Amino acid sequence: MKNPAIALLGIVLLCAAIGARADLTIEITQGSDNPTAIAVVPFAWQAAGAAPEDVAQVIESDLTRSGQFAPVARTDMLGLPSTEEEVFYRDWRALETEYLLIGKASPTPNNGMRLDYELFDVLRQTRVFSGYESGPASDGRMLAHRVADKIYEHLTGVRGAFATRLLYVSVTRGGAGNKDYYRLTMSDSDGARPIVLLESREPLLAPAWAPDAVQIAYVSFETGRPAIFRQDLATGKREQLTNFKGLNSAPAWSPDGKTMAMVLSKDGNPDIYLMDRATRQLTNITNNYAIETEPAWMPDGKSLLFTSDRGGKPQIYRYDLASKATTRITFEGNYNARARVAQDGRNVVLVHQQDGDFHIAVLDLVTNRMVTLTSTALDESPSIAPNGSMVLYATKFGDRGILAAVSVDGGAKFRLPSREGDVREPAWSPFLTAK
Amino acid sequence: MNTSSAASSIYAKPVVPRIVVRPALASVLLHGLLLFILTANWADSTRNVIVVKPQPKVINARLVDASELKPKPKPKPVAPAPKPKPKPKAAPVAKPKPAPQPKPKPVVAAKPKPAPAAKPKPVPAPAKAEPEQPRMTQQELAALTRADLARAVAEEQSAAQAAATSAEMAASYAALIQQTVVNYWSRPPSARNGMETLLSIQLIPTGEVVSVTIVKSSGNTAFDRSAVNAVEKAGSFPELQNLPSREFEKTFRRFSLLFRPEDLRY
Amino acid sequence: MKHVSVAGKFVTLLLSAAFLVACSSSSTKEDEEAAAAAAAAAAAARAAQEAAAASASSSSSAADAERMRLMEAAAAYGNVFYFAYDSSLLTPEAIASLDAHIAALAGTNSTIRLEGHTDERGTREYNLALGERRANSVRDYMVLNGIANYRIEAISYGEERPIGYGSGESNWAQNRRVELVVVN
Repeated sequence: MKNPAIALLGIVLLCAAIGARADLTIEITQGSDNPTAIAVVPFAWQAAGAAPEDVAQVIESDLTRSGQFAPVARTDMLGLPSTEEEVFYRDWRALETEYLLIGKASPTPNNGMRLDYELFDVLRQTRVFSGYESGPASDGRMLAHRVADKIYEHLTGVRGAFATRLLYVSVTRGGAGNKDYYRLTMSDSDGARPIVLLESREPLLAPAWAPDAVQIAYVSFETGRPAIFRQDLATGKREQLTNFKGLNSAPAWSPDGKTMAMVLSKDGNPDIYLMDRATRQLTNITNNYAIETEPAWMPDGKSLLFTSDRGGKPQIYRYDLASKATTRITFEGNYNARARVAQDGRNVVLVHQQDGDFHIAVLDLVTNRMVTLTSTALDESPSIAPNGSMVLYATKFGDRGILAAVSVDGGAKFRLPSREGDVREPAWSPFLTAK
Repeated sequence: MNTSSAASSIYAKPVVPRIVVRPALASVLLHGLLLFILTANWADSTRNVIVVKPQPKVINARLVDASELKPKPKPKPVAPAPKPKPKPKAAPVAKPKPAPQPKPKPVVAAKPKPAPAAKPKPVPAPAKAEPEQPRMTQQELAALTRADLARAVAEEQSAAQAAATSAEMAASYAALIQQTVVNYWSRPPSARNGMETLLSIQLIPTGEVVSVTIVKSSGNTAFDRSAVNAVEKAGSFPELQNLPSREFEKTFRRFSLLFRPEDLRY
Repeated sequence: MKHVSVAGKFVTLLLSAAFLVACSSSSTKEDEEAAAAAAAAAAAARAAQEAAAASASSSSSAADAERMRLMEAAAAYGNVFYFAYDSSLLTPEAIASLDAHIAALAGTNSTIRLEGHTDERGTREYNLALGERRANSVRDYMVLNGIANYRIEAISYGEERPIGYGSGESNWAQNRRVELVVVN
């Protein structure tokens, strides 16, 4: 070898020429956020006769209403598998499905029912998730909602809020000269299975859930004056909590259930009071000549939001329990009221007036940006789902009051099936189980 | 030269392996160097991150003065009278055209240029009244001017193409990949601005995706999965078949996708 | 025979008629009504007798007549006072109506209930407070003009119990009101 250095150089250059490669990284900073296509196949009923509930329909409706998922129509399904062996991925890829949910429903002893489900990733052709839910057969819809919760959580990272309940007030008009009928009603989160908890010829208002979801509070005019009542859901037992002169309204349970905020005007004008549930002791937190109403607790229980027109028109203020300081938090528009805080403590939904119309808007407490969510004009009483994803509110459709929902990002909208009469004042329950 | 003993052949005697120091050392060093060369990252030490935004196509436009295109020897003996006419005609027409051209493709630039070249043709018509010699020269001049112009433009085009660097080509195709993935990316509600998932993508020359791997997770499973799903739903980038294979191997055989949303509410 | 006055004759006749009617055996509703009519007639007769007896004192009859006139005047205004949007200020019409009611109530001892309402716009609880503000507005005016505070109860129904159920100003204007109800 003449000169090893030259040979070495030759090798280096050769390798450099072969190995040279540009290292490309492409940044993706936006998305299209189209709903995820999912096929929910009717669950196979593992006994004779018809299944007591079409659980797949309940699950599919839940996932669709969230705005995150687009269902595959049953008429398009090429097969109805209920086990992994029966799944032919090609059939589902042809429908451009991303996920496939199949399952079985079977009766269990003592009038029970069990739902076994499996979730498949069609693109990657694997099973990603499976589980089961069991309970009374009469509660089939709630079992289906629990399955929907699990699927939703697995695919979005957010806990599902389908297995929850709603409270609302339904009013049927009494006709000329006659008093209206008021019914305090509880239903599933999709409006199904309504149960009347209380009926009255005098107004019923402001239903509120206790954080344990087994008690509720509301305002009733049955004594001739507005008074706050507490009711136990399981037994129906009632207790009158207030009997002051003037207004007794807007009950709001603290997150730990130990304090109830309320509005009393016994001292001349409506103020926010905190009542210790155990001692019944009252504390006035807004001693102010203006109207103060609509208290709402922050999820950490350390401060409250409320509506006040001390500045001339209704705006939202925040009261800190420790420092006893009150600060104003809404500055856009000249009517902001009825705030409700999401579990993340960051998103606040409220009623915001714009150009004479009343819309539901969401205020981000961190950025102070307010975004209007609805285009209907007479919106009121927003209530947030316990997972912070959807807002239920009352509005008018034609001549009647109805309930509608919109997602907190404004992307999904739906209306609850309308019952007879006017429906108003929805209240979304907390999660019904620990986890 | 016979070094072994005369009594036995070299094949009978077993060869004892010996380690000769200097050649051995050289061998190890050489292998080490080879290993280093093969495994070292020969690209830029800083990662070649191409932030792909909609980019204008880059072309090289050169201002063309029609006086350059005038055929030199022939018009000179001709009567000077008709000469000034095509000159001012062609020049002002040609000049403004290259100027407002930063975005449109070079092909477009080529087209209007022969047009002004055609224009000098009717101009010599009134010159027909003049003696024969100038008229012939005008037509010749027009034809020559047009041919010259066309040739100049063609040269310019190929020069521009050669001048377009590989970085610019890569950026064009990367923008295409980016747009396709954006169209398929559905963020879950738990996604937040600033979350980052880094995927390594492997393609084959048909543009088909053959491998997607998560190199760096965002910590949020649903977010990671949405990124992988976006690529899987896209499936392939068939336009990459138009890339010269050298370019494909260099940049698109294996590349990375960084998913980092900036357009979410928060 | 003793000279009986015309009034006395008249009364005797009426009472006889009442006696006859009352003593008939059947007990139908018509009879009840007749009995009620008879009782009313008896009361009227008694009043007439009193009036005749007191015909000498002219001032008390004038007072009663005055009270009657006041009540009719108040009734003519109606017992509802209307308000402008988002306001609890008394309009001149409301004040005129209130003045008539105050005058009518001044001589009596009845308790009254003021029921405040709003139209449907805005939030329900805030409207409850706004309705109370309107009812208080009326109460304050009445107290200022002589009606004792203990006689008045002001409550609010907010958006509840509207007169007009639809939307639009024609409905909303009817609902922005305070209703005066005489309790006894």
